[in-house]
Amino acid sequence: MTNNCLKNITPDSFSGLVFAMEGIDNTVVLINGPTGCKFYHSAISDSQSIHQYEFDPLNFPEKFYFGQPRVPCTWLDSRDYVYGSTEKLTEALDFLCDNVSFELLAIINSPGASLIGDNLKDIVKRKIKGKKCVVIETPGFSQNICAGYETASLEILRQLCISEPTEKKLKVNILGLSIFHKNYRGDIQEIERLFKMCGIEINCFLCSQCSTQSIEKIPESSLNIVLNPEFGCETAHFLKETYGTPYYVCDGPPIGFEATEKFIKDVCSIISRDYSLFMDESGKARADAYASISRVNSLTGLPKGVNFSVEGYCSEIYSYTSFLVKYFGMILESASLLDAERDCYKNKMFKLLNELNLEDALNRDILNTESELVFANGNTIAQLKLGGKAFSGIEISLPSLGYIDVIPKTQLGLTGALMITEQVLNGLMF
Amino acid sequence: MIFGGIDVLTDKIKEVKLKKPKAIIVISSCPAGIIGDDIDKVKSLKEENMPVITIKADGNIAGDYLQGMLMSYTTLAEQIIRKDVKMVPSTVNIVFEKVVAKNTGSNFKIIENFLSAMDVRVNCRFLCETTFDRLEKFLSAPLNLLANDDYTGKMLKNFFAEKYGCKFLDESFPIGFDETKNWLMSVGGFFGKKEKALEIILQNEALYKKEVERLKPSLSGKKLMIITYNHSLDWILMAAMDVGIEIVKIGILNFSQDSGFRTNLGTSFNVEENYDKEKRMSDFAKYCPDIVLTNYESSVNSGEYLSDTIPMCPDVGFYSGINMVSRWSNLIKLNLQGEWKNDEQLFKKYYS
Repeated sequence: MTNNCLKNITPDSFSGLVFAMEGIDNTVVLINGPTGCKFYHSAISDSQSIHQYEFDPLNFPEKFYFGQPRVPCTWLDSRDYVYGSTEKLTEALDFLCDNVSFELLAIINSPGASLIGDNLKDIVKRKIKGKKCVVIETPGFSQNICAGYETASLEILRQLCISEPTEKKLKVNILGLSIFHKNYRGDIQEIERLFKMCGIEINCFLCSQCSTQSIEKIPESSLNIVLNPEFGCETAHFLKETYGTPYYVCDGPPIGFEATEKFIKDVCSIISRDYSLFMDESGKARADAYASISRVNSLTGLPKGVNFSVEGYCSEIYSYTSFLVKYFGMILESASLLDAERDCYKNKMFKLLNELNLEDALNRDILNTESELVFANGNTIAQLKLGGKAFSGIEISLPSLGYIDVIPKTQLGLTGALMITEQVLNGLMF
Repeated sequence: MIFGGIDVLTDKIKEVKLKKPKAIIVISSCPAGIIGDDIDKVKSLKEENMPVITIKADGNIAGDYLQGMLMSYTTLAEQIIRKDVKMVPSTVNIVFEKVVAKNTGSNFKIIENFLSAMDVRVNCRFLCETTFDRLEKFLSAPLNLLANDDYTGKMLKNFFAEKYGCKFLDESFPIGFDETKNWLMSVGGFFGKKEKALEIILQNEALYKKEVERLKPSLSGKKLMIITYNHSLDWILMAAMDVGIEIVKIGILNFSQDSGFRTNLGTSFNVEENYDKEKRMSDFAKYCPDIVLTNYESSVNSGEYLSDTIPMCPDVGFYSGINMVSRWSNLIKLNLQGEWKNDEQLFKKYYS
């Protein structure tokens, strides 16, 4: 098995930067780079947060947008790599200031452009007056999306120069959720719903459908909550160091009843909130799941003993494994780590796998799996289908096979636990 | 980025070789090109029956997307195709299917069925769901079929003709009845299977005519206006005229991949090339079309005419045009736009 080569399409740090910035409302993310670097980012941003109702390229004929609603670029070509990007960048900045309404402008160098050596900050300082700007000159090259996302989060917090608050308010911020997380809209809805039951007010989902105003108020909140550790721990640590705000790191993203209950109880304990209403809701959700599982189990004995595979970051493998093994009684056959470099949750994941005697799962290639259920992104599922494997694929991350979610879905929280239950049962039946 | 990436590249290739691929293809990105890495150095890592092929795209330094595609196609051809292969009779290669189009698979099946009926087999699909071995033996097929004859297709055709002396059928993949008829006769003629080709044509001609007669009562006299990027429309124009539809205006939009409106129909159409889409409203008022065909359906003035989309990559075969015309007949009978269209203002309210 090759260790140093990517076996799938995985986004890199540059994508993490772009998607983090795209998660802020009224923001223009300008890529200083060629059109090829812009196209897929705009397409994904537009599909994750719909910005147009038709795909006529004549709808966005403006310069720098190239027929897409998001992520304009300076369309650098071979000449610009020699002579620099100042001319095109200056033209782009002038155009955006004169023609596009925005509260925040983020300028990100593409990997190639970052090697030219243009002083972006200087150019922006001369051209942009009276508007908020964030400039990122080094996109992180082959670092993974988590690194890029955290870099963007930190740069926004640093470059917006948010002053220390005079007092803390009884609100929380959610860190570590990106618009690249497949179900981020549904995730936000679910977290808001659960927190509302406990009377917890959310100030900001950083870089995920938030405003610049809410970012500026981040230090006022009394607690930061890290939803996905690989995407938010560094930012949480920075906020603690800079503003003294304590933070809570979820035990992996809150997937499953037990994980969600722990999540809510822990947060409520920290900020002294009552979670009894939530517990009632959780009880009802558990009862709903029980009814459906019991009916299938009585005829088939399933889902107990069903082999499954999961692909993701350490915290995701931890969360999905914990829920699927402990709650459903299923067996983890293959655990495919998307990126071993991001090890902020590795020890916890190893500990769980050892406890469950499933550590061998890390050594089995998901592409050779004989699992009945595969929790992975659309590409991996497609590869397995093309290989003639008999299984049910459950998408948990992008890239997707293209299913259009009219209703935002989630796999987090109570709704997510029921969603996974539905997907597991139907995946086994059909 | 500071010390260069050749060592890292070499390590990765050595690891990939353990999987025993047929070939290893190395493509350079922007940073690799800017720092001056010469990826040709790793060609020496090749083994017998495992070439290492390099494509020095250097990201977009070597050119834009289409230039990159052409570079890939031609480089792979030059480094893989063997000249010392024997001709295998009754085989063809297919060149330049659009890998990102949704109907590529179904179009291939239609073509493959036509070919199978004439006992002709496909050797290599260049480059779509093919294998290294088939590409290696590209020159074993006596005839090449161009799938799409736009700018890129023409470039590839010229490349193969000039470099390898490849013989191409004059016609690209046929769209619509007449094109399919001509295509079958050409392929049949090349392989000495004209009678079989004629048999296929006659079978389908009967079905086509039956369909035309069925559609005439509901569509005869209707007026059609087309605004499109497609520069070759005979397949839809023929079908429309067969059922008695009048073509009132054709607006051809500027498209990087094609130029020059083309027709073999011998009819003089009201065509405007480099069409300005801002003229849509005034043209609608002037020509009062019953049916408007565009590549991207517009919500402007919906209700006054039936609007439908014309695909950028139409289906191949006898029925491409008549299937679309049949759809219009059903839509006109139904006379429904779909109530969802009334909610455009709500979209603008909540999504702006």
